[in-house]
Amino acid sequence: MLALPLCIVLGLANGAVPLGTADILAGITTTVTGADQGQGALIVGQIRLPRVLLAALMGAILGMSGAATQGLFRNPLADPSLIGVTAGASLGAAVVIVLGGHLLPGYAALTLVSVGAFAGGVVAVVFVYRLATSSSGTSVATMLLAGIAITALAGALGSLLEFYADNDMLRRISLWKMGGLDGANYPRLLLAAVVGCALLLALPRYADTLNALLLGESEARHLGIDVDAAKIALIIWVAIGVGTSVALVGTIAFVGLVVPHIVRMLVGPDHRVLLPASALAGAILLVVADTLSRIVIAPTELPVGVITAIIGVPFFISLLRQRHHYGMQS
Amino acid sequence: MRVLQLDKAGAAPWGPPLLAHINLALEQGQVLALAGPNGAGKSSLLHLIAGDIPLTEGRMLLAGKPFGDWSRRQLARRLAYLPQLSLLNFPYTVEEVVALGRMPHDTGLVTDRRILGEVMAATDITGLRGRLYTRLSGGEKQRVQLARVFCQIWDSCEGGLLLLDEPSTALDLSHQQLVLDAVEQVASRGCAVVLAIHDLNLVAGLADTIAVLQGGRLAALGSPTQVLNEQLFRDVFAIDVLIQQHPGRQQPLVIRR
Repeated sequence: MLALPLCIVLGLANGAVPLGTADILAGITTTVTGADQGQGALIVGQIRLPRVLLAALMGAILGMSGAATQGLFRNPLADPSLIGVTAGASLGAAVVIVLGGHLLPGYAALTLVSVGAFAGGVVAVVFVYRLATSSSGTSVATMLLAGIAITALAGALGSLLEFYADNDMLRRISLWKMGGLDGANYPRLLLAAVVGCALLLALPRYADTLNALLLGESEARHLGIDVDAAKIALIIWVAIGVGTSVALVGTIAFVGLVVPHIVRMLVGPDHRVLLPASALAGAILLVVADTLSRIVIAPTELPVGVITAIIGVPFFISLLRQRHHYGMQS
Repeated sequence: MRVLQLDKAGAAPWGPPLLAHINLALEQGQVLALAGPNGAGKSSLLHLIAGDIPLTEGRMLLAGKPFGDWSRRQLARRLAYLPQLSLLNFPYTVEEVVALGRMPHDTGLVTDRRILGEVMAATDITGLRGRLYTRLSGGEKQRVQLARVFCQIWDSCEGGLLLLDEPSTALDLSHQQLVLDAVEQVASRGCAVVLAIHDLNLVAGLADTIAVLQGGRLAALGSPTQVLNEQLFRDVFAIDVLIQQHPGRQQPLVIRR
């Protein structure tokens, strides 16, 4: 619990221009009061504060969405990209960059890309969901397979777009795919905060349902749970969370997959603890990764997706190698 | 009180009928054993009663009301179901799995704790309570799942219905006896029990009624003494057996020739 504020302060202090505690406090007061207190305060207030807070919110959203997805699919190695959200959103973004990027200059184009990503994610989820739903209910297994099919289709269409794209577009697509928090500003932070708070309040209400779902869908039904309604609600929340995150910061690898898995190994599979703990751990991981991405090759930045993968994967592999200590079977 | 009643019930979830013309009635405290060869419809009948497959013919009443009239929560407080297979592969502790059975109830922590202790003692898993479910042996897992469903109706036995699909397949002899004793205890407190089982000697002393299924229909229905006869085993199971009186108890004994 204490690690998150600490990481946020470290994230504020470190970067291309190292700053002290005084600058951070000045930056925060500048943001709150609007008074001008010099360059350091400006860096903190205008650049780092929204960025670090955005990282924390995105990490929390991805971590908790991942935990909910793994519970819903009863598969500890599932992640939100399995149901096609990430692929749909990536394709949406690529379509906008290639076909519509030249229509609007600078900042507006960036916003348009976000809208494209969000729309792509939502379309993918709706399609997958419709495909998996029949008169007898929604099959989670079919949804998984449909998600894989959508991911493949979106990948193919994306490659087709890249084939026709020019050099500038290609670079923008690939940078966007790597994910990054460098576009952080207060309007984006506001959107992230609204979605993040809604998600962080909504998903824990499904903790008991997810616990029962781990027994199996029909067992959950016999425990008095409206399984179909819960599945729809969970899918929609995850689509909103992941769609928003892809729209705002691109695809950030591994947070949704690795964080809940690591947290489960540490605190067990009870979702009443797992969901909030995953949100917290996701926030910490992304703040740390973003801070590193800014200082490793300063003044240039590494894409944050690269850092999350570089930190996450070895840690994850080491846990996988010891999984029998935690009683995991798959 | 009549807990369960099926009149000409049938189910055909995938086209050809799985079950047809099933007439059954179960009073509170009664134990009904379902027997029959593999694929005869024992599990399908339990699925039908549990609501996993829809009723397509006839009618089915729980405590005098059609199943559709019960709310999900009310139903979960009255009806507990142990499926044949468990899908659980997340490392819950044994105690956490059993406690999931209290989910439909709002009886409070103190009552839940007491019930948890009682069912764990009744299924002999108290010593396993802190262990991870995924590390247990097959028989231990079966006892944990049994404890979970017992937990669901332990204090609402009166008028309750317990469905058990082959609850003793993975258990050693002493634990088979333990589980049957627990079933008897639940029944004596007013719970109606339906259990699918292959070992008829095991339930001949416990069951009030045995229903023998064949090809989705009732081939025989009655008390163990009425149902268990040499002709039935030839017709339904295609084996020759001897039926004798159990030397120590008032129950028939099936001996393979």
